[in-house]
Amino acid sequence: MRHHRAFSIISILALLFCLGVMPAWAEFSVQCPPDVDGIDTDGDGDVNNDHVCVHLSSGDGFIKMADGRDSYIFGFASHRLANSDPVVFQPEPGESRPPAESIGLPTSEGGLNLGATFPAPTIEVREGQKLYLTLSNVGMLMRPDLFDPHTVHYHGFPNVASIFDGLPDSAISINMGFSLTYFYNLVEPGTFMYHCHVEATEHMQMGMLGNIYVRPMQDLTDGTDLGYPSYAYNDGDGTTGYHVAKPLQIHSFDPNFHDANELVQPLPFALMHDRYPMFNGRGYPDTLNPDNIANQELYEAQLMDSIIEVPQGERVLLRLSSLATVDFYTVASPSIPMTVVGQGARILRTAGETDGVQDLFYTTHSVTLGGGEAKDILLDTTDIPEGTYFIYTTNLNNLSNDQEDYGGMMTEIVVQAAAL
Amino acid sequence: MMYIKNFRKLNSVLLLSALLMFAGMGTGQAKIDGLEGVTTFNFTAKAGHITTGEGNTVLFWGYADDGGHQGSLSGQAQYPGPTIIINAGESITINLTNHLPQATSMLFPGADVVNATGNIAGTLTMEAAFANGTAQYQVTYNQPGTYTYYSGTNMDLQVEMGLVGAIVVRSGTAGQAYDSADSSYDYETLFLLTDMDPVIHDLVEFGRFDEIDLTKRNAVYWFINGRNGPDTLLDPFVSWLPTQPYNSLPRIRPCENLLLRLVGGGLDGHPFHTHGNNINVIAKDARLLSTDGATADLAFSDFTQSVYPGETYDALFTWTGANMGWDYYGHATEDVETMTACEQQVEADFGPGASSHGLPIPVTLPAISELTFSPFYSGSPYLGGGSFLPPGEGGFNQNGGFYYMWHSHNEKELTNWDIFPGGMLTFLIIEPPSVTIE
Amino acid sequence: MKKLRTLVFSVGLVMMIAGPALAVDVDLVAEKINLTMPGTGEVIPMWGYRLATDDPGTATVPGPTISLTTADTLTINLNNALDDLGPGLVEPTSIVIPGLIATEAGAMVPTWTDGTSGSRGGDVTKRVRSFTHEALPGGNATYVWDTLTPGTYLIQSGTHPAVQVQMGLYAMLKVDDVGGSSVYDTPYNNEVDMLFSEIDPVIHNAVATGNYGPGQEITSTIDYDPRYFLLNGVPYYDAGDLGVPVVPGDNLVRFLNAGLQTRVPQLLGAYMTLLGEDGNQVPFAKDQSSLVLPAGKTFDVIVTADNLTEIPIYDRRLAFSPHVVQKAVLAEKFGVFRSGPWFLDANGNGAWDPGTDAAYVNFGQTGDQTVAGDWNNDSFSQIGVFRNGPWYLDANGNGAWDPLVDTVYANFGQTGDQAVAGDWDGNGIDQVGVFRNGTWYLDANGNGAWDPLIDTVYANFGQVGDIAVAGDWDGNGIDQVGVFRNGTWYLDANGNGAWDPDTDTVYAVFGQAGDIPVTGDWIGDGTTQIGFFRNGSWHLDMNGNGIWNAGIDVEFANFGQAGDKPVTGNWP
Repeated sequence: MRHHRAFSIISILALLFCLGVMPAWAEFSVQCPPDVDGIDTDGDGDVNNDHVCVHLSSGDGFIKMADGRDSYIFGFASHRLANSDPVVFQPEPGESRPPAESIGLPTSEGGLNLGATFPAPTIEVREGQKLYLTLSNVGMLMRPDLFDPHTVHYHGFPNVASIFDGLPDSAISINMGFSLTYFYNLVEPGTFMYHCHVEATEHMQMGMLGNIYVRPMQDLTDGTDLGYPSYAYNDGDGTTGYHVAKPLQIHSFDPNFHDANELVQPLPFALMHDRYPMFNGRGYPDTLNPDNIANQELYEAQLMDSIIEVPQGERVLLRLSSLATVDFYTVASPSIPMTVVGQGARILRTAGETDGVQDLFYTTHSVTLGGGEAKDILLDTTDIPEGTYFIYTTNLNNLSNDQEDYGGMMTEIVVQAAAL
Repeated sequence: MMYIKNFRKLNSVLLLSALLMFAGMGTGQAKIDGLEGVTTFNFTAKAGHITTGEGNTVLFWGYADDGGHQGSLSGQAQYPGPTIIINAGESITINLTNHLPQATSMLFPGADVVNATGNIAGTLTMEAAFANGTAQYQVTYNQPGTYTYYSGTNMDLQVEMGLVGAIVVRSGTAGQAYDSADSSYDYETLFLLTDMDPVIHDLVEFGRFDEIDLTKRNAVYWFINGRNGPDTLLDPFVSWLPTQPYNSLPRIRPCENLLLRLVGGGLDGHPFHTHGNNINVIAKDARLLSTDGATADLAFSDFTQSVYPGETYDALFTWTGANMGWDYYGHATEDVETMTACEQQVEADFGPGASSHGLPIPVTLPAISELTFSPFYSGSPYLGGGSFLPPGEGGFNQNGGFYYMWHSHNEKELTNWDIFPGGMLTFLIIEPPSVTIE
Repeated sequence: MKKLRTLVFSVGLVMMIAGPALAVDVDLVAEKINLTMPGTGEVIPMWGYRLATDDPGTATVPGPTISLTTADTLTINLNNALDDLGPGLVEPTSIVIPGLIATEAGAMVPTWTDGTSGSRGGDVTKRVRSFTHEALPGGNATYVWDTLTPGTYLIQSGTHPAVQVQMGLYAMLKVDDVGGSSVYDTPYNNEVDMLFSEIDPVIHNAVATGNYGPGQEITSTIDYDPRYFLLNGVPYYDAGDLGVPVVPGDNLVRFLNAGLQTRVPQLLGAYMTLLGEDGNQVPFAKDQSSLVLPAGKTFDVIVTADNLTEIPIYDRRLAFSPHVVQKAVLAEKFGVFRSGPWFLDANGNGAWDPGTDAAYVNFGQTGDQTVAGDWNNDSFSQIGVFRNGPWYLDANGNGAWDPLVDTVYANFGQTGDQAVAGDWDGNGIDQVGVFRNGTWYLDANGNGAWDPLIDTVYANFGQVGDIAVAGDWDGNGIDQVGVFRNGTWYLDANGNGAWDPDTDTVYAVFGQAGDIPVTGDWIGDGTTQIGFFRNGSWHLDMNGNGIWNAGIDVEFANFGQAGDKPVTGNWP
């Protein structure tokens, strides 16, 4: 279905070395200082473990759409020694710039590896932690003509300083061959999202999108049993409690735009028309596949499923967000009621405050999200018989993988036998 | 009906720089331009041309204020229509003259009383016949809030063509959007969001009305207050945008409250994202989100508020820099004397240490050769700071403010008919405390 | 404002309110139906539901509304009559009600595209075809809901929803509190149903002609692009009926969106209070004038407007069904007679639109004079001719001469007279008259015969060589006379049939010798304005000042040709 690339990776690589596209002075570095302040900010009783680190590379790659088409993407990857290593890691004692071998720094050759993943690595962090997020711009292998800088925009981060907002139009972006470390003091729990903000229409349509969420301090045992193992927010009364969490991010691709980008053609902004509606970077039924999905290079670029399994009677927290670049999508759970308990990474109480005078939670069967919107939704399976249920867009034409029917923005929630 | 005019991708930094170089970007402000202190208006509905962000010219139909009042373009059709600012309980009279080639009218959703007279009894209201027809609307708003007005005749065409505007109805208490302390603000701004398919406008211009099929509409322009980015950043009433008087570049200082009045004026919804912080949405359709009418106890917080056509939202925005983990003024650790009023307020509100006063920035920024800079970057991560940047970089951030993009997060809408960047985007500026704001 | 005619759509209403708790059985049939779109006349192949007791071929879109209370239980027996869809297309079907959980055995057990059902097991390639068990083509299935919660719901196909829902398989379920006329413990005095949906004719036609499916012309619905926007199954737009009747007290408005796009119902002159969403009571009542109504969503709202009898409600996204976009809509329109054929600008846009405007093949002959008037009091104008004494008037308005039906006046006037028509007595019906060298004879009693002491004579208004005109110059509902003399107009403004220089109207220059004068209420303000016809070009005095004002007055350059005889009227 898709056009074959004109060059093999090897020949491109050779070409790049000849041209010296990756600057000879490329210098990647990760800042991940140890926590030495002697204060326990994350509330777990350990004064030395509040710092957490993430190292992302920004580059390009390919993914396999649910109808088998190969799609060129820009994207982030967790740049660790292995994909299986946790995205979020703790600093090495005593080192503010850990040695490359310990955290998988890309070398100049290693960066150009079509290693982008989609969606970007999910970042799960906790309130009270201090996040050092390093972005290394490894360049775009398939587009040696591009020298695009990149950023990470931590979407929704409260009271952000513009230097760490990831907005190239207001501050800085990192050039190819270098690293930039962002710092975030995580004081607000909630469901956020992140994406590159450089030439946002292009870089976001191309796939530089991911989930990030901050778990509340209430998740830690503090002597108060509010009835659930985990909570969406510091609700104080357990009303946002859940057993199973699932981040579910809405994505959608326009195949013509991706092909034009791969083939170095003019980009159709005005004609941008998304034809691959997805959850977490996959169309149905790939959303149900618990395994990683390998692309045409046999590289596992799609690491995230959207299957939800929950014992009957338990609650699911759906961390629903949208980073679609064209359209709104309405997402329905027709059988299991959706109770919206948060939005915009705030508890749904008066003014978004945990001590707000009114609980504004509401129950419905569908929510509508434009790009950049997020909602925290509880699915309570108390009255739901065991079985397979569906979460899908009611913009029903989007139950398609481009020209393939019975696909698109849909996933399943399996209500299993009640836990003993 | 989709056209592609041309394919181009411009480097955002270059475009912004180039444009602003010529424009001499203004000081920014935080007030709403409009017709204030007047309650009788003579409007003419007529054609004009707008200039889009990438330099195209498009025919539009707009309302012209013939009264010569400050806050509008006297006698000139404008996009959007004049913003009308009145007080709750007041009645306004609009005498509408029609210079369009078809009948037209005005609707005032949310108004308490509308008395309409005109040449023709239309479907929704009395209309002014084409060819100099007239209509008159006497409209009363008893409740404060943000409202919109637009054509009630051939609406799908005429609203698309530009016959839409906003009405701000003030409460009886200065500095409060509603009769509630929860709606208090220091500054206010109005963002009327619209979208446009220029192909329809071209067909109107050439009189090819029978070729117009509005079911095939495909917007490729997106506007805030009638301007595409980056024109949104220019001063209001700049001479080279003679039919687009209103800008959208609010400024506040740390800890100040900005009232953001959002109006859906087009035909599509837009998820509007505020960089910098969440907004606290206190009202929809000019009704305080309240159970008791006195407190905004149903207000909610969000980082993106979707605004659909016909909707209005009022929201409060503030930026305190609380709990940043480092001192965004770059104060030296021992320099406790320099704690600003806002930092003191943060300490009081969120506890000792919440201002992060005196804490150093926790990371080392890359060397300038490793970075690409925005023209709005001061050269320093600190508020009010500044530093040397390579020649040609930065330069548009006179006060060392923090710039936050406020924009549609359906990112396709950050383009002007195939050209990135542009569309529905502007900035909020957090200025240093020492800066005076109009 | 007109009433919302579309409120009466519920052909097969199933109404079970206010009785004791009932076990309600509804037998539904899913079948094909062709619906003709008003406005365009396009015939759209749809799928719809009907009650099994109704005749085959009577399915509606939306399907029959079911009204119940929470005390009831609902059983739907579905018969799949979509068993003759043509080559290659086999569509099982099923029924789901988002927001309610079915309770029959096998309820909500998915059926996969390979025909299996139940858990997918470890097979990650299975795709869901139906969210529940199916009625195969020609077959039946039964669905039961034994617990109903108050609210408004969409009944819709749970099978291949990307195709089946947009084909028309949806209907409304209302569940009231026990006793009825109350929902979420909120009593209401009146209820209004507003179900929005859409049609993409391309997909419908592909489905109907076997061109949808794997390997076919269209293989998925991703490029869905609706052209018709329906309210309660009827295409609508803003020149149509947007008024919703309300009563004093609480009006419950049920909004449903069975379409695939978001609509934004907007109230004018009132606010709504949100009550419920998808069958869930909202926690707080909020007032708003606009409501975002996404695809598949239902809302219940209360509207209170004690001083109004109706409230306009329209989609503020202004997604209206196809309609002619007119540059200028003439309130009174024109046409020409070409010695037999007539061409009338029925849509009033001043241009000839084949298929839309009216063409009459043959009414009258060469040499006839033309008139137009409302002969039958239907508020529209009909044509007629004067043939040197006899008059032939198209009383039934069909544009053809029907000997025993249409009107013939054997003798009113004579050779050389100029024919005029007007409402001389203000009764809403036009009568004939003639102008003879300065003298007017008007058939005031409308019997088509000259009655010397009853009918009207104006002895002296105009002279030999003048061209006679008539119109309501002063807006009093009665037509007066006037003459056109080589570009100058003399109008009997005071209606006394005599020339009064001080009070009557003279327009010195509007047209020239050789032009044919025309008159009509071009802008619809109740008075008659002037104009002239010059070899196919119409010049109309829009602002009624008798002077040609460039930019305000309008020229329609191309309607008719030299030699045509112009005529004006309010064509249907």
